Amino acid sequence: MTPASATPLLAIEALSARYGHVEALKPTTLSIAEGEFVAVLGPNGAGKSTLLKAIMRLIPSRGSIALRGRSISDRRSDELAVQGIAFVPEGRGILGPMTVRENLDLGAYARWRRRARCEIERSRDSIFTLFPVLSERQKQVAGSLSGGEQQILALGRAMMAAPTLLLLDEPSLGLAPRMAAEVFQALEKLNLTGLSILLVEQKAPLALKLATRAHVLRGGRLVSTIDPRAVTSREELARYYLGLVH
Amino acid sequence: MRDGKSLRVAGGVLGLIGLLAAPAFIGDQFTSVLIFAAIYTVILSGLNLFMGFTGQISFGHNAFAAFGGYGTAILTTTWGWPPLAAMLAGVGLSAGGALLIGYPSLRLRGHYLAMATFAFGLITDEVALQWRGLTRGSFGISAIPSLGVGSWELTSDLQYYYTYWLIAGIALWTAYRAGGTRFGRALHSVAGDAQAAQALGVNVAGYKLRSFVLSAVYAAIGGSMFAHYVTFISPEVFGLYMVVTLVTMLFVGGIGTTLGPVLGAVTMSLVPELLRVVSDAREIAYGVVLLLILLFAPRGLQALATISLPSRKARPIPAPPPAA
Repeated sequence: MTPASATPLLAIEALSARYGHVEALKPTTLSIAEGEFVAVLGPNGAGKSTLLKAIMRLIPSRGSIALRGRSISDRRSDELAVQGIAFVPEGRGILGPMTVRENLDLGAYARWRRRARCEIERSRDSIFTLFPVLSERQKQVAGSLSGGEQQILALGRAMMAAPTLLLLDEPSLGLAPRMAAEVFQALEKLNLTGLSILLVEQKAPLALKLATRAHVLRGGRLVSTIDPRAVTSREELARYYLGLVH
Repeated sequence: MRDGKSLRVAGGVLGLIGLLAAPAFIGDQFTSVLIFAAIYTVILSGLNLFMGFTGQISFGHNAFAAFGGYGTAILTTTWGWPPLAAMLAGVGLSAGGALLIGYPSLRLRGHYLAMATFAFGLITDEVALQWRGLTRGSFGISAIPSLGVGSWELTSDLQYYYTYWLIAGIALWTAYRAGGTRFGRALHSVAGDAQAAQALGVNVAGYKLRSFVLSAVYAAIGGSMFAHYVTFISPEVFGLYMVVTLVTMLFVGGIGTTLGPVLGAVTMSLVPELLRVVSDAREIAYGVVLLLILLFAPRGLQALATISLPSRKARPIPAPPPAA
């Protein structure tokens, strides 16, 4: 997918966040166009998760955030969900004692204010079509799913909100390579439906296969921007990580 | 799976029949004990919403029971209000108090919230003791009229028994129904992962507050029921003992479960009475019983039913492939 309009879907400018005296995210400027798949790469402690939490207003931050040109800097995270930003946190945030279906229905929470029940049911059906494993396991307790299935559930639950932008924090974390590949296949499917995705990921090769653009975050600062098509070797990727190529 | 459900329903029906028939067999003393169990069931239904469903901690719900109890006692004895109107006023007072206290204190989490609510309970207890002009201090308020509507009022323990258990049933049912609604799911999501819930569009702070206020309403109804049944209240009734009793009952019955409040209230009301036979060693025996319950049913008495029955949502284990 490529940028469709001049006004970015999400534009963040000089966004920074700190934990006590530590500035985990230094002033960062970034934008995502409609339908774009942007990856943010970087080692542990680079500030990737902090970036997503700051965008979602889950932690105090400075700087401006705009959705389709309108400022959302003063919004609460639950209001952002209503406005079409879905967030899948690291660790998935699945509610273990609830069934798969109940988890999915909770995903539509933000829409219950503005959408009819039948529309939500249609969304559930389309998610079952997209991820048949969720349909097969819909009455099963979510906590008993495998890690990969839980990640698929987290994606499905996020999609129940019918978002325009999906923020994903380390979806491959703790997954076997085959399961991680399945999760990334699911992400590709979602991106092909026109969904914009901002993915934070440590496994760069996986992310670069799908991303239209990638940024490297190191020490809380964006150090380089990558055109995934231009990265042909691990050595080249390492140069981006080290900030030797901008 | 169906067998498990049928057994649970059968158990529930038997329990209900037992509760309805109990006064014919257990005598006045135990009827009275079960009336108190009904009062505790009402308070615990609300506390279960806040602590079980929403995953928060409160050691201060004795204060809301006191609001209900003192509200109804003062309004009926000093101002001559009819009992039901006084009860409603007490409930309103409690809800307002919960709103005022909850708004700042629910920003706290875990132990800090527990300490804040505990402090609130202690302050309320102290105010009830010291504000003699209003509460008559340690002398308490006596001659509180019986609960009733118009000229009809509850006069016998048997009437109180069935009326209070009806109210307790309604409290349990409403809390259970709330758990299955959009509101209840939001509460569960707050308990499960507050940050994920917030990102899903759940206003976590708002739901914590609503749950707190709602649980205070249940506590106030229970406090008011107590005042009308005993016809006397004093600060000790709503003191530290009540906090310990409420939390013990909730954990023994099963926190976050549907029937936990009633199982906890009935069990922990009956156990001390049944242990009277061991007179001097009663306190020790009580401790031993409590330890045994927590040892064999760490998730509460309701969990015992699900342990012994096939799980409703268990994933079938595939049969191993035949050996070659």
